[in-house]
Amino acid sequence: MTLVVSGLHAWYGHSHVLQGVDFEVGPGEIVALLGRNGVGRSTTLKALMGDVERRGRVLLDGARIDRLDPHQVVRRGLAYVPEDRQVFPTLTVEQNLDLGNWRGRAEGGWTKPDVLSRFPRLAERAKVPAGALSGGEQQLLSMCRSLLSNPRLMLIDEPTEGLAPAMVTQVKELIVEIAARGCAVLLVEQKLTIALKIASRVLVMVHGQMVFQDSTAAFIAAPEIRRRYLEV
Amino acid sequence: MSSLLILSLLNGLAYGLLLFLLSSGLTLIFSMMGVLNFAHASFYMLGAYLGFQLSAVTGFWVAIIISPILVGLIGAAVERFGLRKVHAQGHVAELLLTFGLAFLIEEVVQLVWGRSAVNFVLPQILRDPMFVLDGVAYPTYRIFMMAVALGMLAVVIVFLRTTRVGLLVQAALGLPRMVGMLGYNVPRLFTQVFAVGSALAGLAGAIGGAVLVTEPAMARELGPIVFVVVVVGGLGSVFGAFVASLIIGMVQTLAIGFDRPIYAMLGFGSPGEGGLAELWSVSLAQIAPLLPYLLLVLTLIFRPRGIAGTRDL
Ligand SMILES: Nc1ncnc2c1ncn2[C@@H]1O[C@H](COP(=O)(O)OP(=O)(O)OP(=O)(O)O)[C@@H](O)[C@H]1O
Ligand SMILES: [Mg+2]
Repeated sequence: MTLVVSGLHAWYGHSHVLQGVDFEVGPGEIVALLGRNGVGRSTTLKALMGDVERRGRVLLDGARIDRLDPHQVVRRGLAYVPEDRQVFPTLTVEQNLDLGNWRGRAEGGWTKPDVLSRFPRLAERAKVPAGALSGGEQQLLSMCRSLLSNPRLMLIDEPTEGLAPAMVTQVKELIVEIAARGCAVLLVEQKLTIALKIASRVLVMVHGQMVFQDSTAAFIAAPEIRRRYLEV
Repeated sequence: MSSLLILSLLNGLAYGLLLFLLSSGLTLIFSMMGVLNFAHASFYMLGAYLGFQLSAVTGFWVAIIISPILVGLIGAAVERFGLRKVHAQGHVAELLLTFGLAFLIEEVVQLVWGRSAVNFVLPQILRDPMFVLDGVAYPTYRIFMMAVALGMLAVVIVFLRTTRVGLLVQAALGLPRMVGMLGYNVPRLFTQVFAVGSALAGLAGAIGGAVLVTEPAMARELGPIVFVVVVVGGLGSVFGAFVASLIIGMVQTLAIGFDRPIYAMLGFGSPGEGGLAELWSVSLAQIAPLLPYLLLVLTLIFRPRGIAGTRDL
């Protein structure tokens, strides 16, 4: 899987939020997308999914996916975990997981028994409405749900926001495992220590444009980038 | 219990269940798509007229199966080629479209079937009394209506609870975009839900048309009440719509069945003439048509999520 994005623009009504974004994500890598609040990180993920008005080129293994509807983008192998988790509150944990797999049948890769055995807390609460879970459990559920479509690239938006430290560790370990099992991850993460620990490359965004993209080591070696674009 | 009370309760139940058949579809459409479908009661009217027309050809029993299917297909076409096109312009455009459609359907119905009521005749077996209570015969027909409505309730609930598509509909009631982000074609799901909702309204018309009179004004008369049911029942809740339908059906029927002036109900004697006497002499039956709207206003003010809604309006 290789994702190549060039000249990506996005709008909310008249407000022109993404102003020509270029970047790439390679197979199986974790790429951290950083930036201050409101620079357009979430919008970048939504634009890739086709959930906002956008223009530009998005190539997935050479095929254009920038004219597709969200469900078609998912069927090409992208998956999305939104900032606010969006578990279906009245459906049970298990039903939420079932809906994550649009194929309707298991096909190797990540399966429901897989994720339930990896997270005993979710297994115990399989028959409980997802709305009754804690924030951290909902985050894990949302990630597992998207994972069950066995994507080639997962877009994950601020998964550790508002979670207790133990949960943050679980989320972090899951992301590492997702990548280790062959699915690339584009991660929007506010906690720099976590992002730098697991990402192999870093993208930095300012006002709807990328101002830095390089390896994590190069980012760490360039503290002025951090000062100029990330610290508040 | 007096036999009058029993008969009134049964009538209230029959009317309430018919309302539910009509509103269950609207509640799904409104909650899922945010579309205030003004033409929903028009689909009910179409169901009645098509049921009437087909009865002459195929007989009643086949007609009440085919008519809802035809109405469902019309609904699907309206969603696919009408609502979906104006969707980008927002909910006001959608509302205006269904508003226009309601008038269009009424005019077409008048053109084809005339301005007065048509003579929708039931098969003999449904006209025979089911039982006789204190000399009052209770028509089989009303029992049949109740059975059909309860049967459909069971089918809809089992479908929503146990099938994959049912789960998707439940999920899409609250978070339609997320359903799309999991790989499902949400616009197509909308069309399907709209078609099923319209077909249920058509079924209500086909089985209710004979009792409630099949005439061009029938959509206009029932339309607003159906919205009351949806709001009072609560967004996203078929069960809430069920309870609200029964409450409104009962309240309206009982108010008419136990028609008394207000002063008598409060235990006073006749107020005679003049002053506020006119007000006190208003009868319950005169107030009945107003009760659903009172309920609507009170619900919006004091309990915006209705009886069992999953979110505020
Ligand atoms: N639905 C929307 N309608 C209008 N403007 C929006 C909408 N969503 C976001 N914006 C605006 O677009 C800009 C980018 O938003 P985005 O959500 O992509 O930011 P972000 O980088 O994810 O930051 P954060 O998550 O901290 O808000 C912001 O100025 C925001 O106010
Ligand atoms: Mg964001």
